[in-house]
Amino acid sequence: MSNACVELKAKVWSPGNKVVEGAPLVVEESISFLGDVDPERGVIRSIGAELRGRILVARGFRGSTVGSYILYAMSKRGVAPKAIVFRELDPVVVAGCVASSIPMAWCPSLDLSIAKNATLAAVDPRNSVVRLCS
Amino acid sequence: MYLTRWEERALAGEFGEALRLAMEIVVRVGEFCGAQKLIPVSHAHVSGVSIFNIGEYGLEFLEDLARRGARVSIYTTANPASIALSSVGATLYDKRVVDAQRRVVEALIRMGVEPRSFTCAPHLLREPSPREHLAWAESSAVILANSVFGARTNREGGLLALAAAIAGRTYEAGMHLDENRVPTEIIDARSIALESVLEASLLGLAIGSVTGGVPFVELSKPLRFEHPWSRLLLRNLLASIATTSSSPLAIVDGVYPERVELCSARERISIDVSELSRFLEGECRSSVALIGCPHMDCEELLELCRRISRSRYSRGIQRVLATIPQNLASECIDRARSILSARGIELVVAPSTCAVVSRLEPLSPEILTPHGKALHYIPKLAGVRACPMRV
Repeated sequence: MSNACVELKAKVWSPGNKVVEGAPLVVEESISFLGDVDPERGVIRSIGAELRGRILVARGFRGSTVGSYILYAMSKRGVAPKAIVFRELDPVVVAGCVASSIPMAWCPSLDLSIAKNATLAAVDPRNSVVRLCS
Repeated sequence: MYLTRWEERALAGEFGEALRLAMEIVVRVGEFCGAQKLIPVSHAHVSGVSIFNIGEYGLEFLEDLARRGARVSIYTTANPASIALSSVGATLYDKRVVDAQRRVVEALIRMGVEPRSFTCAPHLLREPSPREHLAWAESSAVILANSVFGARTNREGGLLALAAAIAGRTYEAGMHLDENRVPTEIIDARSIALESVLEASLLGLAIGSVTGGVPFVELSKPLRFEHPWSRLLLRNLLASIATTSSSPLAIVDGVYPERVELCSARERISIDVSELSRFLEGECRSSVALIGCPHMDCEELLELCRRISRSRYSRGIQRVLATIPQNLASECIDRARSILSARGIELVVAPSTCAVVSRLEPLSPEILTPHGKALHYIPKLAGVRACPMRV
């Protein structure tokens, strides 16, 4: 891990309390899983970015119930993100992450413009932090 | 979060994988929302039934869950399906869509959802008691349960409501705590005459767009849930508030069954009739009208049909599509039909369905409706234009 890391306090859930890290995919706008995401390929349509293996770092989410199911579908197809970090809480996404065993972190102090420069993100349930390193 | 011994064992998977998953969903959402513990609920109401809404992925999840042996542990009702399941729908949509819609309903019934439900008005099957804890999804039902019956329910997502149905519990936060059931502002709507469902709807949309969470609403006249016309106005007012806001509760003066302290209300906002037109996307005409959003009981349906048959604005309407609860008596439908046919209007009923969550292009490019929720969602979800119907 490189030296320039920031740690942000977060509420974290991860199956088996595992620390998860990976390359961040930062999306500054709120995402709607219905429409913005192709669940077959796990791709955010507007930017053509693949979610698999990445830590999705997003402002928040729009839309309703169906968001949970899109997460589940991606997970079943093996194209879901490694973890999801968000600044704005959406219980539908929390329920969807649990149903799909996708680790997640709610980080109210997340600054997306800083996150954009990160090359590595980690979601750490043991210390209740999100680490962003550049 | 504090968990009872039984809840811990369920979370550890001692009672099977399906219950473990349901418990995990309720507990984690609760933790993220700051709940200290879980509370038993007596009635869950699940949303996310329309195939146009949840799609093939929602169907996949529900069928997987049913296959894994998930069963509800408390009385559970579900929202309406899309009109693909009605006799009208069978002629409008592809057979694959109709089949997928049927499979969603079957999966829910396999998990123990009340087969006679599939309505957005679950209070018609089981009326909530004051202070009773519920786990309801469906915004119009939630705001009714909290605001009229004095029950306690958050506005759950469909998956959380289903998980709560299986676990028999939900997390104790939000509307389950009295400290959150206090007005955020006072809405003064006393200058609005409130003489039509459309007017009550537009007022509701306006209130929803300004409220900070729990509006205290002052009206020009008292609305009474016991009286069918008054009830229709009240239900459309509340459903419309819940359309343009995430409010689970509106304290309508004289309706809310509990005493409230107004000191928490930070400001007073007046809404007059000129502000209502903002929620009309423009007038248009259609020969097709939609009623029943939210679903009506028999008295409400007959009252609305009588008003439609008497209204001078009903000229040009040839067909009224009514989405209704499936337990509405056939005598009631016959009476509604004869009221409308006297005016030369055909009544088509679509039991257990919701038109707003259905693609309506095959039906008509423009649809009249007096309901605020339908006016708001039809252009977004149904792909056609919604025309305000003055009734």
